[in-house]
Parts: sequence; structure tokens; C-alpha cells
Amino acid sequence: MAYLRELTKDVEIHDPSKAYKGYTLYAPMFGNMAWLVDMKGRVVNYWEFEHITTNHARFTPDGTLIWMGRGPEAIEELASNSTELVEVDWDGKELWRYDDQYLNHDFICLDNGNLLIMRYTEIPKDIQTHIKGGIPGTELDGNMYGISLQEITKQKKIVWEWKNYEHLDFERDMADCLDPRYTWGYANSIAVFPNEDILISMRHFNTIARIEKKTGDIIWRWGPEHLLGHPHSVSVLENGNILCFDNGLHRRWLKPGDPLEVGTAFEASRVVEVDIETGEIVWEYVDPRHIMYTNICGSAQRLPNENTLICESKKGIFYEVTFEKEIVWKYRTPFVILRPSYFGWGESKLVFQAHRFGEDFRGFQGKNLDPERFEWVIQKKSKKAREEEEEVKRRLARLGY
Amino acid sequence: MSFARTHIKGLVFSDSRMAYRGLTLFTPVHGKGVWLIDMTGKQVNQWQMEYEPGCYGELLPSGNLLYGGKVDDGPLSDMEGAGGILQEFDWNGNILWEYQSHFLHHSFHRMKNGNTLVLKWIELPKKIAEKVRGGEPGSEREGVMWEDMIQEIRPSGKVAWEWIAHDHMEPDAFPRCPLCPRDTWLHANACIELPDGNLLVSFAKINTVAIIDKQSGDIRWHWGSPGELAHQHSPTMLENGNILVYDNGYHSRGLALSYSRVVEVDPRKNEMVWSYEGPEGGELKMLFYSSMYSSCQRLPNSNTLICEGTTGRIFEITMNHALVWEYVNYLPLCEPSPIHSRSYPVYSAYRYGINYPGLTGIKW
Repeated sequence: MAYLRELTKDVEIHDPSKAYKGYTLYAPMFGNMAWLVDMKGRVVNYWEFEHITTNHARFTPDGTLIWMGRGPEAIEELASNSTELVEVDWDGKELWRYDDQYLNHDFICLDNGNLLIMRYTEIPKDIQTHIKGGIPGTELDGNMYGISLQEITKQKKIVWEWKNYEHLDFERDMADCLDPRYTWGYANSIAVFPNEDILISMRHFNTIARIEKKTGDIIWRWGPEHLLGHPHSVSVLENGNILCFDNGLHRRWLKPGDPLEVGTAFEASRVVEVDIETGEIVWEYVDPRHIMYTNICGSAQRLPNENTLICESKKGIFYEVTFEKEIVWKYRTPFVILRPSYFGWGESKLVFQAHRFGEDFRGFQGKNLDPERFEWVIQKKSKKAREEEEEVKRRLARLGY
Repeated sequence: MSFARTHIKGLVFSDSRMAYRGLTLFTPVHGKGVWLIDMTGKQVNQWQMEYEPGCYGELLPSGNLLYGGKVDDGPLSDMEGAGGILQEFDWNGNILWEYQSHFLHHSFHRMKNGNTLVLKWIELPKKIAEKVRGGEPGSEREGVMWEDMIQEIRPSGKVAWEWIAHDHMEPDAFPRCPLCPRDTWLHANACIELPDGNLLVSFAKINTVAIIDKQSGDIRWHWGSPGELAHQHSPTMLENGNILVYDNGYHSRGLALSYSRVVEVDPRKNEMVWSYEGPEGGELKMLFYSSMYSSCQRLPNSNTLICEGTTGRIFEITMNHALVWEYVNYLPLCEPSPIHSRSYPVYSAYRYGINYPGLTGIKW
């Protein structure tokens, strides 16, 4: 695999007085590396894994890193199907691993030390017949996959499980009519409430929902009627509100009088903060220049200083915006992945999510964060990789970069 | 990035050896003007309009400009693609001809015989509308679904020929986009006359381009649905008989990996023979995308001029996809629209070569 570095400066905008100082963790999709970069875009640590990821890596509260890898046994057609969680320390030494052929998109470290994982689960045949919506005939060899959530201990014991087909409403929860049927209830992110309830984003229902931990019931939902389109990256904020990246794909048609901020008539993405009591949007970010749009993936993270870190996945661009919606940090991933991906062999700059960690994060205590260590990341390359890089540079230069 | 999303506006790139030399005409969606620029991005002419575009202007072989304007007080003026007035101007902006109807929308075409093809909306009878499937129930426009009528208008304004969609198309024959509102049935957005006199039409909401037999009104050929095209624009027939069309990729089916394409299809075999799908290979192709507007034009040197509408990006590529010319619209001609804000979309763009009859005697 080759990582190619572009000519463009990685950090295009940086206002140190307003940005939330820290380090940003991300893992380019289809790559096998996770990168930790400082505010100037310099690599301060990286981790390399055996298998690629189609999702992301997260720090645990202890400062170890968990990588979601996609091994060869993954099912090609299941988007972001992963097969392993690998926990490593700062230096990349493997501490723990969990293998599950049906892992999917996201996992959360719980306060009790357990992990909440999301996985695909086959829907029993007799239940499949009740499921409506989606493009007719798009089952996968007659099979349909739902979503299950599992809480697992470090000893790999499953202590809690939730299956979406046992709790969703077949009349109401229909895949939108342009999405395939084989992944019913397609979900892509989870978050946890202080009382252990779970927040989940279900892309093909254009819905985010709260699952009561005790009963498994859906006790709150917010979705298409609020113009949500293929949402990603839910989180529960300290003020009790919910933050969500609203991609905008398959957004419901706009009725006259729809309360909509600038820009959503094109397929524009936005970040919404929702008051869970009233269902009202209390904060919203839409790119006024109308350029921020990613049909797939995407993330939003509220930072301690009230800024929001946004990942525009399709271009591999991260924005940090203030509460007043000023862009105070903008970063482009310099790593172009060259390998087979959704569109066959080719280039990708996709990044599933970006996570910022403040300087006081536990995982950084006593660690060497000197960017000088990794100058070689740019320089050490095979002849072929260098030639490829030159070619890409030439092409980009010609294209006006 | 696409390459386009650099901060550079105006002329971004030009390879004068490879590009097809001529003037480029384009109409910013939020302006009240039509611009003609040379290969360096310099303005050669500009027509100031009374009306905002609905949707674009075209330079005729006579050197006149035919322009579709949007009349604000029409009963349907808030519909997507609404027009209302057609105006013909000379080089200096004098009005030579005008045709008005509140129901004009999207596209028009000056025919060889001097008449003009126009698209109009008319009400689809309720009984037929009930049989049309797809789209959220209740999303009709005040209970009405509008359909397309094509008319051939004489210079006097009299109707020489007329075609109404439901006379020739069954309401359930073509699957309609399930996500779009039911305010229109087919949502035609382009109609041109072919060399043999038949008409080539693009119906956006059924993801179909079709050839209409001028004599009988029947659909002689159609392509795109299901699964090929998605809310396409700007079909043209090439000299080799193939059809070139901008496939927006909006509301496309499947895995949500939406992107635009320009495709050349051989209508005799229904085979795609050429396509441009954005930057080569991989996920970067998703960066070539415009959910609405947009156009493509095959040039005499076999290059293709593409207008990526929502970004206001006009660029020219060779058959091998090499970029040879690029221009990004930046003309803030009127107040930013509350919906589209500070972007500078362009509905369509046309290149006219130095030998184009309409440019005879023009110095540039």
C-alpha cells in the first residue's frame, strides 16, 4: 500500500486563540494506519495494523487505542463489516483483541470497563417476511441482516444484547426506497446516556433513536420529519442535548414552511444539536459556502470549549467551528490511500471520523509527542511509491492544486 | 477538488493546445445576466436581463441570444425550473422577440424551421395522477400533479405542434423517483430537435431520456431507468448517433455512493460507450457531483465541455479524461438567494468555436 502526500498544506486555517488545543486522531478508510496529528498537522504518533479499517480507531479512557479492523473473512457486501477489535498501547504493542466476523461501524468504551459493540446479525427468515421498504429484490442471496448491540466484558463475555428486529416497528421502520433491503436498520454510530440508555443513528431510516437499556424499547426518536438524511456520528452532550452529523442524502422533500437553515436544498450536510425534551434544533452548522457535503460517513464532536470538530469524510477535510460558526481550524488529510475500495482499485481520501483529544488527556501523560520523530513518514518511501507520488503531484499540479 | 474546490475562481486551468478554442456562454443561476467569456476567462460580451434565468441562455447561429427568464408572479413560479418568458436579443441586448406563458419551464430549443420548442407544465388529470406511483403521498402541489407538454411555437406565438405526456406514456410504465415530491410527474428538463426531426427529451423524475416520434408522438426509444441514470440533464445527440447526457446521480439507487457522470450511450444497442466519472478511480470520483442543473457538450475536437452546476464549475476534458480547461464562476450578480446562499451555481454552459456562424464578424 502506498500513502501519497499531496502538495497542499495540511492545515489551511488555524486560529490558536480560538481552536481547542489538542491532538486529532483519525484512521483513513481502507488504510491500515491510525494517525495522531497536532494542531499544525504534524504526526506525533501513528499505529500500523495487519488489517485495513473501513471505520475508525478510538482511544479508550485509559489512553490505549482500539482499532476496528476488517480481515479477509469480512462479507464484501456488508458496508463497513469489520472482524476484529485490537487494543494496543502507545507503542503499538497488542494488549487485547476481540474477533467477531460481524462487527459493524462503531464501538464504545463504557464506564464500567466493558465495550458496547455494534454488529450485523442475520434476521430470521420468518421475520424477514414482515420487513417492508427498500429496493425490491435486494436481499443478499435471500438473506437480510439486522443490527445487534452487545455489551462485552474484557473477558469476552456477552452480558447484554439488543437485536433491532425485536424492538423496531415493521410498519414504521422501513428502509428508504432507494436503499437496499439486505441491511435492515443499517446503523452506523452509537453513544451512551448517563443512565446507560443508548443513542443510535440508523442511516436507512433517516432516524436517530434512544434505546432504553433495561427494556430495549425505543423510547425516543428524531428523524425524517426533521429532515434528517442518512445521519452519522451521534453523541450525547454534557448539557443533555444530542449532537449529530446529518449528511443530507435522501433528505425528505421540503414542504413550504419547513424550518430549514441556508443551504439544505442542495444536498448539503449539516451538524445539528437537538434538545431531546423538545425535539428542537438548538444549534446548527451548515457551511454557508455550500461546499461541505459528504454523502457517506461524517462525524461531529463537541469540544470542551464549545467548539465542534467536524469531519467531512468524502474529501478527508476536518473543520473546527466555534459556537458562532467561525472556522478556526481546517485540516486536509495528506494521505491518499491507493488500494481496492468501494469503487475498485483507486484513490481514496475517505476518513470515517475524526476525534480530538485535549492536551490533558490521560493517554498523553508522559508520552513523547515530539513531531520531529516522524519526519521520516514523509521521506521513507519505496521507489515505486515515490514515482506514484510524483505522478499524483504532477496531476494535482495540472489540475490547479 | 474536485480540483475545483480550490479557492481559485475564474479561470483555473487552460491548456491552449488541447482545448477547443472558442467562446463560452454561461448563465449564473442567481444573476440577471448571461456571460460570454474567451479562453482566458475575459468577458467578451454580457447581456443584462430584466428577469432572473429560468433557466439559461443559448447563442443561436444567427448571433442572437435566446434566453429563458423567470417571471416571479406566475402561479407556478416557485417550482423547481420555473420560467415564464422567452426572449431573443441581438448582440447588443436589443429585444427582437418575446414569448410569454406562466407555464414555461426549464428548456427551449430553436428549430431549423425557425419555430421554437418549449416545455410547459399542465395539470395531469386526477384519475391518471392517482395511478402514478412513487413519492410521498400528499406531496402534490395543492392536490395537483403537473405533467409535461411540449409545444412548437411559431414566431407569431401560435402553436404549430403539441405533445402531452399522458397521451403517449402510461402512468405506471416508468418507475418514478420515490423520494421526490409529487408536484410533477415526469419533470422534463430538456427537449431538443434531432436531425431527423424527432425530439430528444430528458425526464428527470423517471430517470429517463427518450426520443419522441414527431409524427405519431410515440416514444421511439428510451434509456436510463431503472438504475442507469439519476435525475439527468442536458441530453444531446452526437454526429455518430450516440446520446451524450449529464447523469447527476441525485437520488441514485443503491449504496449511497452518489456521484455525477457524463455518459455517452449508443441508442442502437443501449450500450454505454464512453463515460467520465470524475477524478480517476477510487472514492475521489464522489467529488464530481452536482445534484441539480448541469450540462455537457461534445466539442468538434472530441473534447467534452462539462458544467458541474451547483459548484459553478465549467471544465473541458479530452476523451481520455485529461483536464484541458477549467473555469469556476464567481459572479455575484444579485443578492444571494436564501436557499443557495453564497455559492455561484450555473445551470448550463456552451462553447462556441471560432467558426460558429453566430460569431461571424465579432471581434474578440
